[in-house]
Amino acid sequence: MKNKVKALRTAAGLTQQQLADLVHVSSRTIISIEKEQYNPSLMLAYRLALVLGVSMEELCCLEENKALEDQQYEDL
Amino acid sequence: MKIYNKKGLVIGLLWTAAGAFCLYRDAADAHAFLPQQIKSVVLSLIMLAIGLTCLVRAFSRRAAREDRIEELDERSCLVRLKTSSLTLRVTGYIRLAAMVLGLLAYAFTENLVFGCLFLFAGLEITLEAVVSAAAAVHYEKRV
Repeated sequence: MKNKVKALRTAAGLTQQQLADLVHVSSRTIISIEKEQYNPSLMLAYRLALVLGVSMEELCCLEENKALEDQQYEDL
Repeated sequence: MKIYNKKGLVIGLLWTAAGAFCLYRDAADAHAFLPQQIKSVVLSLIMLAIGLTCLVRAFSRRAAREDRIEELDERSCLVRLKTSSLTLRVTGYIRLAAMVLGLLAYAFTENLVFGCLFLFAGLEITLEAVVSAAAAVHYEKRV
């Protein structure tokens, strides 16, 4: 799932380890989220949104991802 | 000294005891073949190092917190779950192959070893199916 974690983290001047410490996960989780290999849980996404000062919709590109998912369902 | 990670302490004690025992055994009952002796000593030292690391980490507040975060980390949980699932699936295929090969080999050779291979692989597959059904019922009610 597409997200803006890397862009927002860089803009906030945080390292991956610092962000990981702030949201109580390992730095590998942050790396995986940034690479869009792992989708965070609802609570982790909320924590990330709070730390990065954006809404969950913006952080997780929910509208864009929903459109992509709708397209996949239509293709079924 | 305060213990911050009891589980880590127990694991550390077990690894240290196992490593120390293996090292003692290496010293008391040395292999005649030198490469084997070296391999055995290196393995014992690795076990000892793992044990001592776990012991030291159990007494460190920061390390214990890191270990706890790693344990609770949602991605790590998912990785553990997927690893268990894949392991079970792969070993399931291996058991199935062993059962079929055991059956075929027994049919052609009438060797009891192959008969036992077929029997035990079949029993394991049956047991796995029963446990899987019970686990599915358990989680269907709770998740």
